[in-house]
Amino acid sequence: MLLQQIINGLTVGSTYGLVALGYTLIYGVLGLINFAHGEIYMIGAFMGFTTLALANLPFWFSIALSVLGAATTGFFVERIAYRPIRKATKSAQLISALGMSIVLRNLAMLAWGSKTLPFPRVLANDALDIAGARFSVLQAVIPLCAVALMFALNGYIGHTRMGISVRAVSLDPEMASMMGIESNRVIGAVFILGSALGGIAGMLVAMFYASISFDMGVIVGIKSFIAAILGGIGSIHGAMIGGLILGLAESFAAAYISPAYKDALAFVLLLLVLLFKPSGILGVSSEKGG
Amino acid sequence: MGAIRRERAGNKLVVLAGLWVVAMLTPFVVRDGYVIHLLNVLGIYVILSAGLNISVGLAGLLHLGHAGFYGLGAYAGAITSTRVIPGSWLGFWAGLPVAVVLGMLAGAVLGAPSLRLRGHYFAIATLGFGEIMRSLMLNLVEITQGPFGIKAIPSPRLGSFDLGSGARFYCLVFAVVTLVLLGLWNLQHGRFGRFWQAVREDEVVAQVMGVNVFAAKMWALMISSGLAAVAGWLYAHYVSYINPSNFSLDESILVLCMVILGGRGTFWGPVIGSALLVLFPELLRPIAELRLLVYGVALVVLMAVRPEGVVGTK
Repeated sequence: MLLQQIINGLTVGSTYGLVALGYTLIYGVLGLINFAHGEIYMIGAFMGFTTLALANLPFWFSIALSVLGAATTGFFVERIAYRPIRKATKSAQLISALGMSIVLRNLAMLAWGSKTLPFPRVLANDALDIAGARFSVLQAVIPLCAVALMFALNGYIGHTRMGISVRAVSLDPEMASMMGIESNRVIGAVFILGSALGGIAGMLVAMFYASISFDMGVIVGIKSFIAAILGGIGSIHGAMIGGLILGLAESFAAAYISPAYKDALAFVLLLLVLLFKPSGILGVSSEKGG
Repeated sequence: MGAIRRERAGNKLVVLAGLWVVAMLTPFVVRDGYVIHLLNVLGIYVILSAGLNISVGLAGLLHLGHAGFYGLGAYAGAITSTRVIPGSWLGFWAGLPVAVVLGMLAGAVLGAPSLRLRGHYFAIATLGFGEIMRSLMLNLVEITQGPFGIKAIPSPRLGSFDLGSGARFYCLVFAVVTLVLLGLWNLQHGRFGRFWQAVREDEVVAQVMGVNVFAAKMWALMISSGLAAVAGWLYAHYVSYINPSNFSLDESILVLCMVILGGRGTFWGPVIGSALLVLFPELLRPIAELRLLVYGVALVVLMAVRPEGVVGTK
């Protein structure tokens, strides 16, 4: 029972973590909550659906297209809704972001309809058995995938030229631009990267639950953002740790307290963290002004 | 100079009084039931957004949980008139103080821990609080009947005179809106208004000048929440059936959009923003499928063109 909850919690938590990576990257560079990020995750899932179920493309090709679709969406979201008003107040940017999320959600509804759709089974659903806990192959693949991607992202940010530029812009945008870093290019890259990871997460979750709907990004988006804050927004490891903690907490709460309060739990955790350690578990600077 | 200014102010007052009379008489001239319904809904949103404007616009607190307080007021009112004092017109009126007190208390409960937070952190904390309140509405089944909601909420009455629908309800809403706006006008142009403005412009300077920043923010939040509860109290008795989905995050966002689109921190901004967002979707009714899409596009475009809102000045 305990082990079962841990496995379930890790599966769900690692998808929160993957989505949280996108929030943390974008918040780190722009100080902006990308409210459309949950919708980008949804777009990833629907691209997977379209290419797998409707176009019958091979699995790997479908994953590539779903990542590409999500990344392109992220790129355009930044160009259309955020770049033109980068100098405006935070609340104007927030409303623009919310507007963009409404646009994407409704475009998806027009394109794919408002019904929940079945997602094709890709990986054989063989159940594995460890000490009485049963889990599917996918439940092993998802956390491994998430953690691998987190390390890849960390390596990219830590060691490539673009990654160093990203860190420079997030630490001090003015200084970075004086040093000849084109912040617009960096911001564009961050949106593409974060959205690509969101797209993969969308695809993985769609495979796990075997169903998708146009509004699937809303609650996952909010919870993943909470995960990013739990871990310390701006931190890559923090996003993953926050995601895993949230997933485990939900899984335990559903099993041992009551499934009814599962969704509220994320918010209670959030308030507790904000109260006692607003910088999150791995956060460094406590506040980025508003 | 002084005389000219006084004369202008006098003219402005005459225009306002004229508009007020026009607004009051509209439902008696336009006798279309649907239009009157829209005006009733508009009135409720004006109370909500004018209230939210105090924290978002005046005190500079980005608040994403307003719907939680709206719901709290609605449930407080509905429970008072269906269970505490059922079968009497007094139940409706008794619900008002209950809703306001609970709303303001909840505002204080939110503010006490979260007002230490800044910017987006505060916004996310309020979002969380609003969602927790909705979760309580959903899960405290003995009190709220959970997802089934509360049905058969009696309509507002004064003695045996029914105020529950059409132009009659409009008179009630209009009276409340007028009182709320008058009260806010006084608050905004009095001591509180100056404190809030000082806090919004520069917290540190305000503190140095002797403004109790925490108290100023706390009052802003509590008054916002109290007004949201008033709106909820009216709404519950107007529609006679409420359930938790009426008070979701989308509702908080809608009201926030009203404030920001209209022009946050301005007096008439929330009124104009409410009118835009209540009436605009109606204009789009013929293209119902695309309604929300156009609404989203409009938000993005408006923020690009006028990030300070329709009547904003900056």
